[in-house]
Amino acid sequence: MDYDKLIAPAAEAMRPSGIRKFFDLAADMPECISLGVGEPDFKTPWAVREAGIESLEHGRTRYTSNAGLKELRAEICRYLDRRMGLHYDPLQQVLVTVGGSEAIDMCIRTLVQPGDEVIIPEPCFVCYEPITTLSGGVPVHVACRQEDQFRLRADALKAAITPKTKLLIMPFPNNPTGAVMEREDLEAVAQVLRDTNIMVLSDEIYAELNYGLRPHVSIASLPGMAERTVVVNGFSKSYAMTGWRLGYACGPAPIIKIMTKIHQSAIMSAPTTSQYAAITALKECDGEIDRMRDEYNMRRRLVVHSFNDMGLTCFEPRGAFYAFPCLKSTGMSSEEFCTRLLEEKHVAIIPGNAFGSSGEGYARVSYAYSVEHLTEALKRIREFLQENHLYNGN
Amino acid sequence: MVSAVPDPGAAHSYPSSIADLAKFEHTFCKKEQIAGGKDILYKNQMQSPVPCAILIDNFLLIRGKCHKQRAWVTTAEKEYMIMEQLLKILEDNARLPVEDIATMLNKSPAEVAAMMDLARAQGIIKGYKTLVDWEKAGVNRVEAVIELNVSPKKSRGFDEIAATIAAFDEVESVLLMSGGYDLQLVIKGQTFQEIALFVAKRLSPLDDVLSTATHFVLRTYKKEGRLYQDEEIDERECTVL
Repeated sequence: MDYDKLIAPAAEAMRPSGIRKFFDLAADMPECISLGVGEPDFKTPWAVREAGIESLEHGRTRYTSNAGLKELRAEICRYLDRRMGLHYDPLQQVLVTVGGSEAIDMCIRTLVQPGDEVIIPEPCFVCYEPITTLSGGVPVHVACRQEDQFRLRADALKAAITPKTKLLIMPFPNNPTGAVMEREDLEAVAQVLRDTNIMVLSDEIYAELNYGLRPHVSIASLPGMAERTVVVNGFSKSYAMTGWRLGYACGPAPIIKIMTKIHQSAIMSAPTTSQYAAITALKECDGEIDRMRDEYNMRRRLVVHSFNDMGLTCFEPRGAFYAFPCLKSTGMSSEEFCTRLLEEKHVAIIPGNAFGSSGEGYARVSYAYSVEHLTEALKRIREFLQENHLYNGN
Repeated sequence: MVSAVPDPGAAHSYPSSIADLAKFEHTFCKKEQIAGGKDILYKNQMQSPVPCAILIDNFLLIRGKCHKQRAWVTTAEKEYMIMEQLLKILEDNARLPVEDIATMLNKSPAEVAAMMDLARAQGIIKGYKTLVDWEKAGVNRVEAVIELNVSPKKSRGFDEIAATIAAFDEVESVLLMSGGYDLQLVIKGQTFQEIALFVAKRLSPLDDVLSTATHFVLRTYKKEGRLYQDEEIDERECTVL
């Protein structure tokens, strides 16, 4: 068999994840300390796990309706209303998916046809581009810069818009930078979009992890934006439920209807156990979200302060659980810095260019780790800088 | 309430093994039967005021409020919350440098040091200790949990006998319990005999002690929130990103 000829060129051409090799290297070092993973270190709240177990005990092991359990969709709508000020009809405007990732996939597949342009602010989560390309869409990258606090500027967006633009991805709070968009920033973006037919895919999976003085604002809550926005969210980050694989999309009924149709063919329905567990998460676990956020916030301050103290200037991330220190003062590229840090000090962090070319010169550091773990890793990074005469700090 | 006549062990021979101790306790338990039924309600009334109870009440009040409406937290409320966070950090790891704790709480090191001093002075922080796995260190240590039935005093309830028992160096902790017995002690010693002798010679002879039941710790799996047998492994793997 000539597999090279068999495999579809678009699939073949998908960019592989840039960090795999780091983790393969790190896996061979038992003493390696990783600050690499992008998932909470907390366990799923017990009440949620118990609800999952209970659903199994009751033998609730069949498919659910394609769009997800009615009760879950209703709870999702109540939650979005309570915490984000968003209003959706559970029967027509919600689709329960296999993680936020599937919601992103369904949304892009529903909207993008060959030749359509999709504006993707960078640095960002790595899945938007390959999914766009698979649909025949053309990714258009807009660089977000540190001097703008890694926010998407309205003028940069405007400059990227062409008659072919179909969709704007809004990945905020952002992985990997930790940037958030405040109401004013979103308003400026919305102003650019209101006169167009461009849709927004607002990936708000980190919405609950917001450390600013003001709570998270969804672009869909701005006047005139709900009709052109698909909000993607999920349970992974806010409730520490990554392995349950459960997310959702909310948006205009005609779009959700088609997304549900694709979902029906590709997935059938999201995992039943997870759906029952998620109902409990939404009903009972607001307090758990706050507790975890407080904990992340303390670690965030520790990590950001330490990098600044070492002379690696670190923009203050107001969301998610990542810091994005700047490595430019060392004169090394992201790859070189991270590779050497891994080899010499056995600390794994992710080079910023894995998240798009505008991430070059930075690294993503996850603080979803215990304080002890973080302190040890930061100590080693400090030593690395000192031993290589790159230490610039206090 | 009828108080038992103490039996200072004259009728018993002192135990020197676990089996002997069990036998000793079995006989000794008869004292409790003489004492008759105890007034459980009385135990519930005996809660003496805890110095930080008011502070804790405030924490709860404030936290409840904050969850509903995060936007308007007053400065005083914020201070309480920061104190709570500080205590949680220290409870988990008291060896973190003050500078790091200060960064985590968005305070200056001097402020954090002052808060720690205050909490220590007010008796909210009782002390700083280290968790040692003596088994791993190869040092002989025996630990036992003792269930104690005592006769409370009309005036001071369980406080008097609890204070007497707490004064023994061998006693690691003394807790007043709800349920089937009154006090729970944790005793540490070098050998089983040492603990057996302590129970027989010093604890049981006390006037107000009606009965004891000693349970030796065979293995520690988890203590103070830390696993002793297996290291907790981070099973998270990097998937895509």
